[in-house]
Amino acid sequence: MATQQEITEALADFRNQCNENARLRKMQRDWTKVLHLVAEDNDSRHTMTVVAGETTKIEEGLVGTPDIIVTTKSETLCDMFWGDLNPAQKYLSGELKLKASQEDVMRLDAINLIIWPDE
Amino acid sequence: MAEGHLAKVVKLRTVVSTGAGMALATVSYSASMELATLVLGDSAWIAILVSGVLCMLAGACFAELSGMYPTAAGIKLFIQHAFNEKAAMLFASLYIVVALSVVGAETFVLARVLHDGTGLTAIPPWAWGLTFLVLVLGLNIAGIRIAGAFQDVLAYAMFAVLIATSIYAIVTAPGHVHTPLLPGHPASFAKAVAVGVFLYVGFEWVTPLAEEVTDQKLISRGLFWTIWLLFLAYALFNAGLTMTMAPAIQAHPQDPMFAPLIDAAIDKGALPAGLDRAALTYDQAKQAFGTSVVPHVLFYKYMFGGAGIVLIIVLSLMASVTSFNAGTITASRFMYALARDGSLPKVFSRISIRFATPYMALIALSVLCMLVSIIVFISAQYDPESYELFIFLGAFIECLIYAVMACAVISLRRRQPDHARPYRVPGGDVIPVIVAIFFGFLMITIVIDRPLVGAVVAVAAGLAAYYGWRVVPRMRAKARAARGTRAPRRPGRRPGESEAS
Repeated sequence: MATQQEITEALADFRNQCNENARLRKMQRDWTKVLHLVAEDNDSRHTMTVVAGETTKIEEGLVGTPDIIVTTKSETLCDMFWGDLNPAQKYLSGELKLKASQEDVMRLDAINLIIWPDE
Repeated sequence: MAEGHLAKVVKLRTVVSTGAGMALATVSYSASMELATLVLGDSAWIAILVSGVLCMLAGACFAELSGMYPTAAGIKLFIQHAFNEKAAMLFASLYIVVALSVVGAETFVLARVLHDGTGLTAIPPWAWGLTFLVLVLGLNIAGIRIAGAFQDVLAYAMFAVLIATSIYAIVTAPGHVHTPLLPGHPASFAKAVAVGVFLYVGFEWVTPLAEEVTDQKLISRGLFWTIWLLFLAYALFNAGLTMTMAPAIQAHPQDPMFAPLIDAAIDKGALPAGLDRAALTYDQAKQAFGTSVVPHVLFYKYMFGGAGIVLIIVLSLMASVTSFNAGTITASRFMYALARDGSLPKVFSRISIRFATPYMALIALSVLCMLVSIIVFISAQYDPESYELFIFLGAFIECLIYAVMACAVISLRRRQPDHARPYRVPGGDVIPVIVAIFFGFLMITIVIDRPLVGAVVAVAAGLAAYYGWRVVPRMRAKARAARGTRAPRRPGRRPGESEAS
């Protein structure tokens, strides 16, 4: 089980990856969202704020009203934000649960795809 | 902060407008007339009601499954958990065949509406159809989606106009209602119910909205109200159509609008060759009218003249755009997800950086739609009513999917009895069993009447099975191997240790 601290570290790295990726910033230029990240197997909770494609804040706990809620096991959350797993597979198998519009569901996976493209 | 509440949630009215908007397509009007020719008098509403009730029971099964797995990946996931991955791939593939069947018939009928309605006969119908598909592709690639309040207004306006004009037609129709409670021969009635199922096809596409509602019961309620709205619209439209046009044909069999229809009915054997045209019965007049590919254009033209033609063109475009826009976007995202999963070639996971849309999946879907449409247009050169095959093909596979969903409910109640179920189909397994039996019966009815449908489905299922059971495992193994060579980024992980597959 990944701890809250481990997920925080993963998110910090993810934030850098997102903000330094020019292609991603271009695609997300009109995307402003609040994401709640919930580990279903422990008390780990995080809030990620994206403003015009820039990930501006990563906070521990659930802050504000979310546009997207991601719920899965803590290990999956950690691996996902380190880029070590394919979120689409977890989503299609039901292990990754999302509350979001269909467009945002696709964009979330697209972020992962652009930063860590499949070989 | 309480968990689970989104800033923007989809409300019941949008669930209903999405489901009803998806189901009501231009081809629905033609299918509605087809249904009317299969029953006596003005009793089509009974077949529409029976199919609506069956779809509602199927909807209840969808609602239970959607509550268990509230995801846009629903259909595949339900079957995967209830049975296995191979079955899930097979039925997900067949579901795409349904979508393509509907598109083929829809594009054909819409093209005829535009061709016949506008009077611009220099532009052949296939050109209208392909232009429409290209326009929709452009909208979808640009990420323009009819959604939210605009979608609600569009869908409800469409239904309001349809219902209002139908009521007007009923009230002003000459003569009396003919045999409203006597649908006729059971075999023909069963076929009518099968066509009736086609009228509701797409209503269950609200299940992807499960990710955008906070209360999963909205999906079950939405499915329920969607069916009722569709029943009301179709029953009234059907009644208005037959009660107006059948007497009109009886009164004016030599009219240039009606004479060719009588000729076509005689040619196809629906009416006897030595018919006394001056003494057509009500049902004979219906049979004649049923040969028109665009009965709704003739109906609105007869009722309201030039204004009626404009109205039906607008209604048809609205019906097609709402169906195509939502359906193609949803299907393309599913294709994108399958490509990311390794179940489809990687190329379909390409994203447009400018528009953030899965453009390759959209292009592929549109090309497939165009190919199916071309097949329909070519076959219509030999048999103008050949597009009906696609209606029955779509209805058959939908019946199959509904039956499988019912079986999935029963299976999951045994495999996962403790899984949370925000909505549970009442009455134990009775309703799922009824759904499985009745839709299985309808499938048999369709195949007996149209053996070609069974042949097409068998070939499609064979191809889907080969692809899903032989090709996909190899693709996934290759993708897993590629990921396995990549060093994990997470600190403390060794290569091969991560869940990167």
